[in-house]
Amino acid sequence: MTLPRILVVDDELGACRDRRNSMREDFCAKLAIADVTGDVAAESIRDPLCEGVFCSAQEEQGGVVENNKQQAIALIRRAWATHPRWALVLLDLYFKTGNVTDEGTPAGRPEDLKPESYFGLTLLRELRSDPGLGDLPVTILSSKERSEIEKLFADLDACDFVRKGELTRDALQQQLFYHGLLEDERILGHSVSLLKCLREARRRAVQGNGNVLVLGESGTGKEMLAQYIHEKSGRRGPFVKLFTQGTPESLIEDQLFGHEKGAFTDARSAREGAAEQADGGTLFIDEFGNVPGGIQAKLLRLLDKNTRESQRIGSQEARQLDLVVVMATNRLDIGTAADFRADLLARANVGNPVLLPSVRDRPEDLPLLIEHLVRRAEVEQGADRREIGQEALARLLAYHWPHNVRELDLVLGDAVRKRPRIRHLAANHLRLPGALDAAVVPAPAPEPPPPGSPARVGPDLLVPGSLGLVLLALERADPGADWETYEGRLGDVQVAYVRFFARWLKVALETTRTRTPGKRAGRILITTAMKHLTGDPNLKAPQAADLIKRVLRLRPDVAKELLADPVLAEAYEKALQMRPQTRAHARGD
Amino acid sequence: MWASRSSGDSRLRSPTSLATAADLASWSADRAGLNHDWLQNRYLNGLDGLISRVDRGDGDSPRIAEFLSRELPQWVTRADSTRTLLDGFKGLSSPRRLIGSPPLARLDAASQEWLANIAEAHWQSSHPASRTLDAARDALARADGGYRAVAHLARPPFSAVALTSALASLRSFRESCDQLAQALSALPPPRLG
Repeated sequence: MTLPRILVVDDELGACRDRRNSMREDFCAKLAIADVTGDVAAESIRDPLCEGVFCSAQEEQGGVVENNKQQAIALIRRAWATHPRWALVLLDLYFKTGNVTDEGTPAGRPEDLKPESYFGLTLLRELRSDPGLGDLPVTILSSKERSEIEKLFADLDACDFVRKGELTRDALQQQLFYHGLLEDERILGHSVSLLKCLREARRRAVQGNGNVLVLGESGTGKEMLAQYIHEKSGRRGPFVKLFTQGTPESLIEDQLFGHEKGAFTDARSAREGAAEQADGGTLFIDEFGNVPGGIQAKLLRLLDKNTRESQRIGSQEARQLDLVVVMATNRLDIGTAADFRADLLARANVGNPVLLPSVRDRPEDLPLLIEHLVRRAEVEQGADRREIGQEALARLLAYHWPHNVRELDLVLGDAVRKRPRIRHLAANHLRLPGALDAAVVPAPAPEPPPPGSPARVGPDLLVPGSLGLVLLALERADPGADWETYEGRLGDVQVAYVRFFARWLKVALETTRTRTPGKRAGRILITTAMKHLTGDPNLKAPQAADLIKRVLRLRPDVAKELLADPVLAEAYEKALQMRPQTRAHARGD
Repeated sequence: MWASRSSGDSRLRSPTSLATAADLASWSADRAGLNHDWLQNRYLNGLDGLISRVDRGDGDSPRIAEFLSRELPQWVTRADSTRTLLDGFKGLSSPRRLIGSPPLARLDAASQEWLANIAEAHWQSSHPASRTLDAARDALARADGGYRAVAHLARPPFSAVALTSALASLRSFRESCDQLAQALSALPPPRLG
């Protein structure tokens, strides 16, 4: 992992005399900074906190030292536009100018000492007047009295003021944590938009038991950001995830709050919910934007930072918890959502979300992401290492990535999987969705179909061009998709999907099972269960039976294993009874 | 530069004459030279570097011997300079300096002396600047004591073992130097009048 790089603009620390600067050596030793300036001999630092570049912002001519604003600005601007960019700038205030004394340092002029004309502030003013440097984090580092210039540096949007004597290794680490633009080894990227998002996430992580709302398009890595928040919070408790997508309301409540023994017919023992499990740690509610209305009211007490109450189903007692709640959604307009309670949105901190930028908003991160994902796919699939061709790169850069990193991962993983022994990633290895193919590689206009021929209904959309499209279809949990077309091409995905479907089917069957006093085991309702699973309240019984048969038999090699489960076997038998014509095939006998 | 001046600077006017703008600018420049340039930027920074290196077991760094032999002993002369600076502050800030100017200058010598003592005693007991001055003198005394506990480290041969065993004393000295730096910074600039 690249160390963060800071810039120290200071007349004495930045000076270079006789290839030695003992003051800088001491400064680096105390703060664990690896000096990478290259102008003086640098001491080796064990376990450095960051890299440091030192700049005096001065020049000496004819025995007189003068400040050089343009030199400093040029250096700052140059490195701000490249990688690694400045994680933080430490800026001195008082720069001594004038004739060089016998000690080799400038004698100083009266105007150097005047707070209103401190060169450090002049420099900061210049930086802030440059729109391209508006996000540059600058902390004032000085031995001067801060009260003299408190308003001046606040007006110039300095992050902080640190007295030189108080800058320890820990204090520098704190500065980097709160104000620095720091990369992360899992949430890859070095664009300013991503690094600002990570900084905001760190700040929110340490705000005590707060609620954090993460907003980002699908595939941007909201769960990873939630884990990042958990790690940076320093909480020792667990990170507990709750997924609400496609889950019936009654099940969400049970998963979130747990239940007492006997709370409902099937509650044979008490069970703690995700909120209780996360006590002392972080509760992550994914797809917060899909939380049903009934659950919203119950979430209010949990999201109240002062009480943090969680009440199990069937219990009269509320338990007080100590946790951070991180909620994520791709409903970027959730602040104005009509289907959400205003008081819940207020408690979810909707007015101050952490915005995770899309891949489109951080195009400079694409080469890094591409490199990482290709290498990872090669390792995972035991494939040869390959060069990423310029044409392939250009094609990837031209695409707009509506499903963000997830889609990029799928496209690159697919390219590697199909050609494991090829050592050059070419543009034609990339199966991007049709719209892009058409946009990037102009195709000849198709000839019109002969009169009377059957209409082709978007064949390119029915036959997936990439693993990405299949997985996106899976995400939509569309059991009615034309799975036959995937046969033999995407076997692993099919197996994964069938298992996934079976697990959810079992949950749906259990939660909709009806019980009567005379029949404690109850009976499963396949149509009701499939209505929940598909979200289609108008689903008819034959359709439900067909879907169950169709998915469970999709992979004969997995069907036997799944049908060993009594609940699934019962459902399958019911489906066959209802629609018997394909029994033999389904069994794979 | 402040560093080139010795205690008992003759440029400071007699305690009962009015300070000039040049006196005040000179005192401010002296303070900047001592507190900002030397104590905070160099000496404390050097002590921090020394402590960090010893702390992480890097006792062989050539910078350690350099600091111990050349820079640590600078405390002795700089402490004297600090005392002079503090005396200078009192001379410029105490109301005693007003006595030698009209109309009080028309008083007879005995009355001037009596009034000067009364005014100064009152200033010392009530004025915030006087209390800040006292805090600086206390900090200086503590730092002096701290230096005595580590002064032996400046004499060769320099031993990593001796440094490690003196780490607590070095930290204590460093803290008292930092308190002195803060006290010096807190002294308000003397005003004309």
